[in-house]
Amino acid sequence: MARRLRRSVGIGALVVAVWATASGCVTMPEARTGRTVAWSPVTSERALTFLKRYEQVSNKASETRDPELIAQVESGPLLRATRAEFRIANRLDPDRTSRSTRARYTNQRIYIPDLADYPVWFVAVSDLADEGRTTVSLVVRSNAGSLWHMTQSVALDDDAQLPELVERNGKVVALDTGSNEGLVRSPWQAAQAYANLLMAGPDAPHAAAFHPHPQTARSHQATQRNKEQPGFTYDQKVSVVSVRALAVADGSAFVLFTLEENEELSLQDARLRFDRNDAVAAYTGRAEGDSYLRTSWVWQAVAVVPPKGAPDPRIRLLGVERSLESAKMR
Amino acid sequence: MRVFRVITGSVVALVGLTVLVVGALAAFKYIGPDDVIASSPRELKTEGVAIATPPDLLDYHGNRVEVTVEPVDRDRHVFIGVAHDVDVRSYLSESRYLRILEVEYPLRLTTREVPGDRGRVIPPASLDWWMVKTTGAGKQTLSWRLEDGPYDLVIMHADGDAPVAVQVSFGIELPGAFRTALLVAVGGLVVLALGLVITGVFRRRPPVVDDDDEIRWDGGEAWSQNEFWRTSQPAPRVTGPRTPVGDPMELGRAAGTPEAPNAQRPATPLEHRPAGGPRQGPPAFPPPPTTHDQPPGPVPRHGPPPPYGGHQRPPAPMPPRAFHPTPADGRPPAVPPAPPTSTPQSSAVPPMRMAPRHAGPGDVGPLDRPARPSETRGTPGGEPGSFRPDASSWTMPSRPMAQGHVEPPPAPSAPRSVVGDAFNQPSEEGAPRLTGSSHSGDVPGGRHVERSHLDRSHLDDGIALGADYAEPPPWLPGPVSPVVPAPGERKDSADRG
Repeated sequence: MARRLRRSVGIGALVVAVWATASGCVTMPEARTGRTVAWSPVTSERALTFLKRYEQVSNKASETRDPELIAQVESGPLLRATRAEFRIANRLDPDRTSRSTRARYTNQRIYIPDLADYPVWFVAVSDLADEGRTTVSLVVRSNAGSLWHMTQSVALDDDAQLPELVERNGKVVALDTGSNEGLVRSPWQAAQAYANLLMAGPDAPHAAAFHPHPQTARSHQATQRNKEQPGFTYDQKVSVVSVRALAVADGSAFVLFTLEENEELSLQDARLRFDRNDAVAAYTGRAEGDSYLRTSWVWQAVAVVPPKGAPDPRIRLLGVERSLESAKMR
Repeated sequence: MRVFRVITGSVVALVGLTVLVVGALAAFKYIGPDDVIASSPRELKTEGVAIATPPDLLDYHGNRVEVTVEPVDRDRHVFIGVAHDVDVRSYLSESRYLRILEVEYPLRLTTREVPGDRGRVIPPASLDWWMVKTTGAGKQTLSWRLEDGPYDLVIMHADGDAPVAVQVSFGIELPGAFRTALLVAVGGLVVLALGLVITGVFRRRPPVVDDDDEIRWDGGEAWSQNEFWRTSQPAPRVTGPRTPVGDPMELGRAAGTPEAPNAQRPATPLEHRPAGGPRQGPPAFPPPPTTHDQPPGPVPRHGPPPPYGGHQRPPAPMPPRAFHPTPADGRPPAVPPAPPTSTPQSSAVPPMRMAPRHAGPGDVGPLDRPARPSETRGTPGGEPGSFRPDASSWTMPSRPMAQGHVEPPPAPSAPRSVVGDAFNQPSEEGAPRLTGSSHSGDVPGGRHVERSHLDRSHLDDGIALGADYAEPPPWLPGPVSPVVPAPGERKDSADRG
């Protein structure tokens, strides 16, 4: 009875509300238009907030060499590389006598792509104040239940210039990494071509697709030397980890990609000897090995894939970094 | 007719009461001064990590919603947030949670458990994609203005753990709803009062008549505007022998009324007109009783009579405290009349200053009765002799006024017209009134009241023609006939104007 009474009173109140609305006394909600609200994965303010936090956390983690702390702001290949750096640093300077330089990012620019769903990401371009270099960082959120993490950070070459990105409604245009529409290669094909180039050396079929880069040449030299060394077998495998691409004003694509390189040396009546300051020796804690050596390396690169019909169809690498991810030696 | 009014009034009052109750309840129980219509709390439980709404749950936007959540386990912190559906779907993917599918007012929810494997998610407060959020221990309230888009409301524990058990209440702001509900309540109150008025609950039933029209008093407004009553102050009552002064006709008529021997009868103002000239001061009499049959107990001592309403009987002009009416048989009153005052009461006010229609305090005034419109029109120059009596005017013997003294009252048998008198006299005086019916009946209190017809056709010319009585009322002291002022007599229009 009481429930019915309450319901009746409620209905009466609702009737009054409707009547009042009809009489113009009450402002009722407007009906939804059904239009699609532009969803943004992040705002510039939130992106800058993250970058500021990243600077604080990464500097603190570098100072303390805390692999857990850095995991709050980094993930993926970059996190693995950073953790390897902390490990190496702990081996080389266990007493922490040398203070690590604190990175200070300035002139930060945020490029937020127009995305429709997770995973989401944005690109941040910053100047390293003390080094005078420009870094391109990729910040990713794999799903809404995760935090923003930086997964890639590449310092541009000294002579490299960031291309002019296409912006629509304040957002840059993300490209389908698997589509080569308007491009000489799709972003993914470009990353894969570079991985093949690293594996096959300068005589690889895709070698002509890239502008020469010092890091590429250095890798080719190291690979060639290892292959020519007697006493062990050398096996190398480079795979593409991630690719992101943004549209450039001239029709080209600005591509950020990461590779993972796995090397394996199988010793046959031979011994490997490393300098104690070497990264592999520091990481493994061993300067010598007589059985095998397995290393993983992270390649981070930014490149520009030219459009079809461009006078120079070669992919230009704007910055490439190779970092030790892990090593195991017996 | 009465039955119809009672039924109609009851229906109107019932409608008004209903509207009043609904408006008051809507205003103070369901809306509140913040214009938010809130539901009662409802407990929601889930084995999952959250309680969430789909983006199409609400088809409106633009108004503010309020969600109040209190954890069943009061030690736990709760989280309330609103975010885009893309974010919420991604956040709760692979997690078990409770989805609210439908909401009906006041609060009937249709829910469905969404299966999932994850029993814990990252604490929601650490995520930056919430449009609005609140978190804390105990009861938490989230206020958010609905936006046009696919937004979800999420309720969960602040640590992201399952299960979730909370008390939830929803509210939506309707700007102007509280004010409107109050207006509705006020409107209901007005309708209720109207219904009660129609029913007659507020009516003070007159003791002698059962028709309101019978007791209507045309001079009520003028009465209240009478300068004498407006400005009169309490004054000591006259206790010594007084001589009734004033209109001899009034005195005579009062003496001739059946109630005259009764000392409790209210007297006309003229009977108690204070001796003396203009601005003599407040009368030495208490104000008249508001009803004719009011007992002679405590009565207001001064001030104007209460406003004349449709259900109120016009007040008697003056209480008969200080004077005793002259008996109809011409015998002297029981109390010797006061000797005429030969000197002005106040030398500060020059005599004859009172304009005919501007009597001041202490003035005799327009017969101490309300002036009628026709009377106020008659003497633009204010000269007493310029008053041109009309059908409703009084025709009185000449009487010097405002000279600081009062003439003795003339003989009760002086000729007079009763037309205007009958037209203006309060009904409790028993005077004939313009009415379409004649009543005769017993009055509570034992008095017998006669009411007679008065044909307006006899009021056409400016001379009082007298009432068209079937038979002369017994209380009339003199003959009912036209009265022509005697040559040389001054018509005291001041008194009448």
